[in-house]
Amino acid sequence: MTYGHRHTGRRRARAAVAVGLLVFLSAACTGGPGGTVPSGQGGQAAEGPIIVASGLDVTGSGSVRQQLIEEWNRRHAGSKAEQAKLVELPGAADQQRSQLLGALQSGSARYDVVNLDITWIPEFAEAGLISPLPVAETGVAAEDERDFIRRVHATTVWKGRSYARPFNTDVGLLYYRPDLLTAADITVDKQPHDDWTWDQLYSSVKTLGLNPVSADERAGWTTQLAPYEGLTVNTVEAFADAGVELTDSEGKYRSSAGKLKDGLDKLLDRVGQGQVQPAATSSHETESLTDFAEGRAVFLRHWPYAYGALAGLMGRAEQYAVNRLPGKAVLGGQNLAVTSVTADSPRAANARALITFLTSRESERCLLDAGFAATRASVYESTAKPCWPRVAAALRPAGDVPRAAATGEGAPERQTPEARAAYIRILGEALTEAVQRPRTPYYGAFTQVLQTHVHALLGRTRPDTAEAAEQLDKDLRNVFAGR
Amino acid sequence: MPPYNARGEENGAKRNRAVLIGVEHYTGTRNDLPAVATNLRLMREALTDGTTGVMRPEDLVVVPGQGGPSATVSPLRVRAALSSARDGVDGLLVVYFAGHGIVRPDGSDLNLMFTDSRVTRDRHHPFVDTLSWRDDVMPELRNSRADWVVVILDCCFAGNALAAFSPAAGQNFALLTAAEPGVEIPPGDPGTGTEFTAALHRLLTTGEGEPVTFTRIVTGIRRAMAPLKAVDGHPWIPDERRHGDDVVLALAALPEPSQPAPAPAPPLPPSPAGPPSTSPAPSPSSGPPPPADAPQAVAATGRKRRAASVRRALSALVGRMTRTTAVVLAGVVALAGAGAWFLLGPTQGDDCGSPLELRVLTDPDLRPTVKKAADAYLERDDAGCRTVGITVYDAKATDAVEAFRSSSLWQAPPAACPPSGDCLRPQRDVGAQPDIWIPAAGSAWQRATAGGASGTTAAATGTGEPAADVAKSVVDLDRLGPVAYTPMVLGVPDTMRLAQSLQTDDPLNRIVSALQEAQPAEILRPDPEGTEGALLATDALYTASRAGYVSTVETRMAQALPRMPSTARELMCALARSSNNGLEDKAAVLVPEQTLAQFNLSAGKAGRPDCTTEALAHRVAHYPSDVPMLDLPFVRVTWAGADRDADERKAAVEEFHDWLATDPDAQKAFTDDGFRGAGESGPAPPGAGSVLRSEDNATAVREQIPATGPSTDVSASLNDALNRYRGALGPGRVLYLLDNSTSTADKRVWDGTGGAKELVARSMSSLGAKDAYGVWLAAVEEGKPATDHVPFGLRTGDGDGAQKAVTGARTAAFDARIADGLSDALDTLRNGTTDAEQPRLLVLVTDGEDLEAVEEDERKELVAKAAGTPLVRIVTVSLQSGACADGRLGDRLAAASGGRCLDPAADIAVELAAEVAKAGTGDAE
Repeated sequence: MTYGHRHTGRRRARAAVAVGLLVFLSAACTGGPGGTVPSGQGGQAAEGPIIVASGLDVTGSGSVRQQLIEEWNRRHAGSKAEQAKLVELPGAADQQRSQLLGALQSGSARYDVVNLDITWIPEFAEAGLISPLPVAETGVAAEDERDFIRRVHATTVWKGRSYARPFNTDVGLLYYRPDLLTAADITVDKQPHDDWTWDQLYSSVKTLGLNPVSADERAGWTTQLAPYEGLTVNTVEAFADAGVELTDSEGKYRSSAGKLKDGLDKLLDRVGQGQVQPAATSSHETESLTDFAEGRAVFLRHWPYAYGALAGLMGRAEQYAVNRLPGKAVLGGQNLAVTSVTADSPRAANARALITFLTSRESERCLLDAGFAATRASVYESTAKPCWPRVAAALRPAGDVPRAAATGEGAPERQTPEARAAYIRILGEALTEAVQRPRTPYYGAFTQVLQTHVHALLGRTRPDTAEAAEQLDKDLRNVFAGR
Repeated sequence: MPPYNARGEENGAKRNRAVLIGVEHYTGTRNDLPAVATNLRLMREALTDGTTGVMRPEDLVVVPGQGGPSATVSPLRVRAALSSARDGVDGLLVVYFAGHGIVRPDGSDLNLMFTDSRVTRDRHHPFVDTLSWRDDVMPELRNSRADWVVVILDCCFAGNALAAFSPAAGQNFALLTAAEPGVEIPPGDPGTGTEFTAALHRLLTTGEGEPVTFTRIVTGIRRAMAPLKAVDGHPWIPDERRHGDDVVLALAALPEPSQPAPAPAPPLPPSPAGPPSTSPAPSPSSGPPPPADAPQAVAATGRKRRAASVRRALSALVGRMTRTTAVVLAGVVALAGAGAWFLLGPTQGDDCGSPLELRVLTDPDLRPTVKKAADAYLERDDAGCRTVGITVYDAKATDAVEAFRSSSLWQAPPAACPPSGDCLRPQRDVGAQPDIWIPAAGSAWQRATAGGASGTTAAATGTGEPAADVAKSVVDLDRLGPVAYTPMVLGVPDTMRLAQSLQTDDPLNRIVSALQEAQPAEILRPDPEGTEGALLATDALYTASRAGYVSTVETRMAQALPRMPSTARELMCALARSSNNGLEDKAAVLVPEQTLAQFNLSAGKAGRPDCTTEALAHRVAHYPSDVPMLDLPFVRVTWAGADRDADERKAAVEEFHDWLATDPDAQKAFTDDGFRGAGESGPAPPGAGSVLRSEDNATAVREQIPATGPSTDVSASLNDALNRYRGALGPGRVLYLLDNSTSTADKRVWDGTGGAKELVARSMSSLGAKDAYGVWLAAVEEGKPATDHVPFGLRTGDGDGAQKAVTGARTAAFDARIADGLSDALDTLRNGTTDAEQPRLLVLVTDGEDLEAVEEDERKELVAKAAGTPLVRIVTVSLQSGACADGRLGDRLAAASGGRCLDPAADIAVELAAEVAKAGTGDAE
């Protein structure tokens, strides 16, 4: 009988394959892994602190994220398990992503809540590193959920599940020089407004007679076309205008060489007809901001924080104005998610409660006041709930007099309450119609490939967009399949 | 010719060995093989039997050596055992393997599997942490010096090794496989071993009156296995290949009258009892396999039919399903199977899994090249799924070492930092926790691991970092081997006079002295805190120097290059810029040979750095005999508690290392950049396409590397050099002018992390008791002088008080009087001392608003005053974007004073601390 026995393990293993397969397939039919959100309460006591990992704040927001966490800690002062601790990661996005991925995959560091760039959600969700959040169907919680700007909330979703709450958002805006436009007899009604188009921008540039050959000459507009994420953003904006959708909501490639050619042509139009600043192909955020501030471009595509930064750089308020970007604008921003390991632990409930607090109406108002774009629609309304008082106080240090009464220094004369209200309205509207970059678990590889192709194209004198589109199509097919 | 007998008189002086490899435990989803432990015992007994054994007990190498069921067997260990046997055996070499075997879908490339082996969906490299019979084992044994090599494989698909049986010409080599090609075999009984090995044991130990030769074994074992069936009812026929005559594997046993004749071999295995069956199989619904040591009574013939029909059904399913499902199925089957068979589905499907992220930390001098190599690694197979993602980043070599020594803080930053913000937070300030560290030289690894595993940071480096008191090491740093090499050289312009004989075999100091005796010469080198190469060169430069020499060297260097370049490349770029031309002609540079070779390339040559210009002289490499060569060690970093994917991660790291060190594409990335490739036992001679062989470098570099410095532990010497470097430029005079106007608070750059106060307080840690320093607040009523918040002067024992005073500073509702403040501060720093050489630093921290408000005539006056003497370097920190652009005031002050302007485009906190450290004597960095 030994012979028979000796075969048993082997045979059983084979049988287990069959059983495993059946289980696997039936799981796939019912929605796949992650079909349930573990309660994580298993009777064990939660141990603190709740660890929040987030990139170093380089926006000059005065550590508003840290301040919000401190407010949470004050509100839970008696409970050690509920205390939260912010772990800062490097400022560079690729290093943040690498550390978060590597640490969550391997367990080299413990994080309970992670602040993820919106483009990383599919990758982290697909890899099972973050856990879906429960969705409230009815009641106050559901209403609270609906307050998130719809398109911003969509960045938290992957394959039908929401994995995060939107923390802060971002959207492309158009900054411009009304003084120069007016001086060229372009009247206010012909200057940027809500429904302005790229053709109108081209026409203004033509009227201004701009044709810059070198970087020190005044250009029509400037933007971020150096080979980094900024180039991806600008390209996706042009693609969206040309009706090019690279992927569906689940990351499947949906374009073709023909469509890509339309998109590339659209981008080259913006560069050519818009008389882009020659330095733009090596510009990141800072360089493009400086070029605009120093008069080397009449228009600028930039993010909301430029609104505050320009105030310091340009001196007089009437020198610049902001409106929605013509055509489609791309969303940026970050979302807060609970890591999968924590979702299975006693800390799960506390981690989720912390996220709820950090993305509450009050906290979002604090973020808006600190210079971020908020993720909730109500925050942009006149009836918005104010920022938590102690956070507001911390952001406005003791001894600082109210703005309206300030003497000596002049922040108020640069951004009047009216101007700021108008800016907030524009920002809110821009967010409601913003578009996403492709949703894919292979975002890192995608953005590399796109940048390489497009930047090479921008460097050519007479680019053949048909040929470039064919190559790009081939490479994108591979990239979106994870190859 | 009589069969070869290792125990024969003629072979008495020969060294014999048996390498017995048994893999019992598998960490993946593959079943353990409990019978293997018994197999090892049986083989040991058979080969070393007092009467019949051809080996002595000391001739045995058993892998794993000890440890029981949980002992792991790694391919590296096996390879090492085989390599050692290859070189160390000149008599009989027996290699025995029992474990899982696996092949590609076409039956080729038998791979032996070890504890952490796994199967991926990568079509070209599906097997990870295995050894390929064809590519790894056979080539190793082909080069064996043994008189006879005998290999016995007891694993599934063992017969598939026969197709790649390729001994060297004239080599005596025999291969015995447990079964024919394509045949899988059952896992065996834990008590008695596998069928094949148990039979082999009987044959070897019961040889009757004559020796048991390989030929006899083949006949005997085929007979023994004949009544048995392999998996799926396949006939079980052991197979063999042979080169050479015959070899004795057991000596003649003394006949024992009481024992019945063993041949033909008994058809029944010895235990346990039970009716024999030829068709066992479990029910498909019987769940996971039971522990193999739990006896099961399984006999029903119907079960086999059911199993076969399940398998047929699965095949049909595979045939019908979409490609995607087929791949999923193949994956499930391959992972859940007992490891013996592997069905690789089409890889054109679109369900690639999530790649494993590898974090690669490297030396700043290496980053561009390592990045290129990593990109090539990811692109090496553009048809298969991406199995890994790689992010390459760098950090100052000294920061990396410090962070490894305090790695518990890298894993979890301290709960609280002092208000000054002065604490070690490597996740933020150094970068991601690496899986791989490629420092420039082994000395960095020595520094990181010196003095044991736990963090004795403060004592070891003399930095007195307070947070380090609680830090400890939670990493293992394993050196897997160099990936490339480059010696450190002194690059001397062609136009300078220096004896040819000094190109090699002399210590750095002798070369430098000869150079400086012959003409005015400046010795330049990048920041020794930044790169390991610069630190090693600095150590040699300081050796045997007279008192005050270090200070002279460093002061001259600081004057020649107001901003210390952070890499060798930056140093060369700085020289190439026209404003440094006067310096360029008389500058000898301490850089890696690869950097020198790249910058020697003439215009239009591939590999010539972008920043270089025709103004840069051609330089000849002088090879100091006392600077250790950069050997780019590949270090695997294992974090305590990082056990979620430990096996996979380890395999991925090792695979990347093997590729870097051996693949031609990987090596090309290094040699294209002027490195020397990794050869068998050190640097490979530069190939035809190497930058080193370009005609531009014909007279500049040596093809053979001359003698370099010791590779012994130099960590203590390097720590000493660092301390001397840090102390060389001080004590200094440092004055901060802090803009405390309300706009700084409005713009939220006053408080908090990265705020003005924290930046100042943090950088003050670099100032010591011998430094004179102070902090002025600039927002005052018109006509008043700046507030003397921390009065300028020596602060013996009061460093903490000064930092606290800064963090407690308040804003004031006035404009900051920047122009007056700067002018007064320059006067204060210049007056009150006669030592013109003392470092002087003025730090202006502002939100930029009042800086912009300075009128043009005031700007001109200030710039003129900044350029005066004694030299005061002005570092402007503008907390607003764009304020350091060309032509703006911060930029003009930096240019006039040899200082810097830092805005948010730079890493202000790190850069400011470094600038202050240069002037101060305290905890530099």
